[in-house]
Amino acid sequence: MTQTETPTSRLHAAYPESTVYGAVGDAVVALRFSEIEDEYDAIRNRSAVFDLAGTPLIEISGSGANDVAQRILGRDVEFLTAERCMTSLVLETDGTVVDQVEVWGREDGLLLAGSVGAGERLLEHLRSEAADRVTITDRTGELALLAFEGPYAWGVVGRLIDGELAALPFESIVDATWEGEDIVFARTGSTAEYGYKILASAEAAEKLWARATEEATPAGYEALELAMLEVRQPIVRAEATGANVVEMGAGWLVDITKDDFVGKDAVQAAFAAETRRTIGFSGGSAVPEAGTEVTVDGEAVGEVVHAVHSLALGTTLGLARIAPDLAAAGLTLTVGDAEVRTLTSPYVTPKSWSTPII
Amino acid sequence: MVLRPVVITGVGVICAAGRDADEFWRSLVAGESGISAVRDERFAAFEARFAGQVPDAWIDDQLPVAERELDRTAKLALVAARQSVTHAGLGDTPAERFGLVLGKCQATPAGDGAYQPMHATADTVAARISAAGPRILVSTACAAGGNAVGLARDKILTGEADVVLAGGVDPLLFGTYAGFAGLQALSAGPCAPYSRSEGLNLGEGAAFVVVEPLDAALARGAQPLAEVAGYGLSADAYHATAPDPTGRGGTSAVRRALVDAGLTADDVDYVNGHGTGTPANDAMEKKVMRTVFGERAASVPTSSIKSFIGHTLGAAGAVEAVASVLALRNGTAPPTIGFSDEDAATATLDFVPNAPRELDMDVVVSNNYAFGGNNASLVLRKPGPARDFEPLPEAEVVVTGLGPVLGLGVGVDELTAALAEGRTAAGGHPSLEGRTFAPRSVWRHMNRLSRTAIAASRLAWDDAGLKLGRAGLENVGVVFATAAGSIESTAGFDESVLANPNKPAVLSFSNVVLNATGGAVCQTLGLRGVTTTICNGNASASVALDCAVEAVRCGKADVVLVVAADEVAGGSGSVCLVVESAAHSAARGGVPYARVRGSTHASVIGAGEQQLIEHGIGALNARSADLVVGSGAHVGDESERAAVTATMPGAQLAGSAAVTGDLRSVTGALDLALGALAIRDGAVPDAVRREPAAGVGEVSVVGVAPVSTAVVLGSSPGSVRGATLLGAV
Repeated sequence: MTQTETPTSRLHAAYPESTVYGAVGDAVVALRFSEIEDEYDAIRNRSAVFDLAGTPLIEISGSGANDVAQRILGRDVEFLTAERCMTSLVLETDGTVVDQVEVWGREDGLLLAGSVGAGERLLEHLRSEAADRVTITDRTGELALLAFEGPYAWGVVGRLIDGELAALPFESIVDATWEGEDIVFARTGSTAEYGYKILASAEAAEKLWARATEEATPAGYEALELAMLEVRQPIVRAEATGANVVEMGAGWLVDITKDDFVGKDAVQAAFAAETRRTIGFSGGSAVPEAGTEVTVDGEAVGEVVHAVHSLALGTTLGLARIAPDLAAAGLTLTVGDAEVRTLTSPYVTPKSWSTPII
Repeated sequence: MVLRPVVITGVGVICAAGRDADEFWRSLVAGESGISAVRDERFAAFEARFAGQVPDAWIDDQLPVAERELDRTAKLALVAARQSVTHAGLGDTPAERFGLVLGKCQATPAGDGAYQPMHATADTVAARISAAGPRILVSTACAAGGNAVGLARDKILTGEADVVLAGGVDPLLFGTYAGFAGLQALSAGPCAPYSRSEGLNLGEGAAFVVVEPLDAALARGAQPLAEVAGYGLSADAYHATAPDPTGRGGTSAVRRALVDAGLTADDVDYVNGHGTGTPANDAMEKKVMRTVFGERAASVPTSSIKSFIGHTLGAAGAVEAVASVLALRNGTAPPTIGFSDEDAATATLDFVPNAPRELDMDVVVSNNYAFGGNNASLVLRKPGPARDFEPLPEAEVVVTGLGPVLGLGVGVDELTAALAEGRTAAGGHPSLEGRTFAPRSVWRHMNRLSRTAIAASRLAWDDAGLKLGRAGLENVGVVFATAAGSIESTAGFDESVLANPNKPAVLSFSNVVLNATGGAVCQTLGLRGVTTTICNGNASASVALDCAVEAVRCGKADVVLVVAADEVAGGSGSVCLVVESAAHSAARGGVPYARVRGSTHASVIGAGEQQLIEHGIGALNARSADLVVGSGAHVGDESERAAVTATMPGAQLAGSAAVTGDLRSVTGALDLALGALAIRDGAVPDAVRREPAAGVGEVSVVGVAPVSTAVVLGSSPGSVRGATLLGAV
């Protein structure tokens, strides 16, 4: 971004001076607050706190809310209760990905939390698909979303919010209060570490951010996307362009056993087709651009989707979209000038998997 | 409101730590474990081979020769039951005023791969101690024993019995052992609850307490040992076998029990914990302690006697109730054994490590948690002198929703249409093809029984027009009724163990417990209120309805789902009734089918079943009811046929067995549903009026004279006979 663009977050005044901003979709967010190494280390070994400003927060309410959501969302939300959340894709009729959303069950409908910076397109799509008896409300401006991730994030939640909430079952939601303010607390995340999200009024979020950054390391969007890639959590803005759900490897975010949903026919066709597949790879010192050719014995077999430098692996980590018969772990491919090896996910083993909540 | 104080006046126990209460207590305070290497050579198949076994001689030496041929479950139960009756000094309690509530987790093998009816053990015990009052078989897996003591208190409070024997029993069974081994839940050595928490040991045993009103006990000169001040039940609604790691369910049970007792967490002096020794249980229990007691948690002594006897499953809650009574009487908290010095030094809560502790205690809480997400907490306290009390309030209770899921049809509309057309369907499976009543990811892993029960529950919920927010769902109860649980899962599990005991079908194992289906209903619908499971054969549903009505009367729930589900050869089904306080229904604009005007249950000892039925009809003043829904009149139940003919010669007679064949607990629930339908909607099958019939008969619908009252007969021939009177609202 240029320094003249205004950060999306209302909390930015509390950010440190060292903060580096950048554009993510239609949002301007903190890419990092200090050194990415420290922020990444907090995610994987301690606890990090994120200001997820720029996340579209869109409410679907009214008596027809669940019917509409069931049609719009790729996964089955027919029985989603007010105390559960789940992740789903939102598709166009032709199968193109509109966004990946976290769906929070609410007493009078659902709340969708989309990808950072993707609000405009998501909102437009939802409004175009909405029907009678449904109200679509953009609550992005009045609410703030904070997240905690890390193998000891449960301890931060215990000290800051409520120790009992730390052990909430995965994808559970609780309406709670924090220092007299109503909040919605969810056990969910995107880095495969212990993850929690808190939805609060913008005013409450200011207080919470101040307290949270005393307990956890504030981390920016770069570290978050790196950690997401390491556990093969889809990053829509990097992976969805020009690919269908199957090519993305995001089949788990739709449910073709559902009676119907927008884009279902296209997804079924994609499953039936011999389409390219996405596979993780590591190797090389340079980070290749998206679109870089992938070859085997000099023959083009695909292209790079997205790549970064992995701090945990100490090398390049990326995704390649290649012919289906090569989309297997343990193969050697050439990306640009570098030899890389295909991987099975997760590419980094989260410490939380061996860290109990005590 | 001060309810009639209910006390324990006798205890009996047999388990690995002692053949009677005295020996049991001596072992506890001496820190002497009863856990040993399993003697049965078949268990050499498993890596973990420690258990709490009862020597055969301890059992047989306490039984007359004629009873030594009974099955082990019955023998264990009889030994403990007689001990408690003797201890209480019970004299000439009229048989019809003497009830029995038995908790049991495992079905008793009957040879050739078959099982006895779940209630058979209760029948065996009741017959030998002359208990012909209310008889309930409660099967909430590992919470059943504690649950039984609570239900016994309810039977005293409702006035249905003067004395109730409450307890639990389970033997050590090879298949169950294989199941726990398959779940990796067994400890390789003696278990160490709250310290190493490396797994559990299974155990066996039985325990009973004699429960009666304080005033009656004092009047007959008995010594009250402890007051059953309150009890609380809850559902985790989380997972089939794992406890909710947040401890929400366990916390609710304790809090509900304390509210029931009119006490607070600050009043609790000692906690007898569930303490199985598995990591999941022990971690969850610590959370419950911290949540319930807050800053006091570390100073509330808590111990697990499973460290002495292993996990006795359905008996556990009863054995622990007896231990709690003895702790109160002796002013001593029994220890949790198995702690190393380092474990003791680093423990974050007071688990009374290794040595008993003298403790001036007035209030004890005993907790149990079970597969299926069932939780039960008992509050026991030192008995005081007789005190004034108020009767249990009458509460108008109505049936506001029906959910039939049958081969005959799914939903009220299809059932009503089938009745109108005079169709019958003996057995058969309900068609749920293309329909899901739960998230697909969950639905496809469910067995048939859970699917039908969940479908029935959702249909009944919708039929009632219930719309409750999250807070409301926390207090919706579920009483599950089943004669035999999932035959599909039981058979699948048994086959897997037979093929290779080290590779049991663990998913099926989690569904073998009788309460698994009720737990699945709670989990799928997000219901966390009072919950229990009743297994009284074909009478299960009417007994379950009683429990639901009592929950409403006691103020423990405004809405309770009574869900019956069973499988028979070639058929299956489920029926759910939404039972609701009339005030709650009226406030939300509900349109009830019928009001529950009364019910009564009596139990069979020997002959005289016709008289029991006649007595039930008479007790409800139901002789002039417009309609009789007979449970077995159409399948050769001569006692019922004769009783109806004798007492209600002019009444219209119907019965679902004529329409669907015998579907066990579902038949009882469908009979109740038919009575309710007849009253509100005038739909009733006129099934072969008093003509002998051996099975499904021709059915026609009488465009009956309006039905304003219906008496529904619930029966488990040879065991329990009941009658429920439904009336127009």
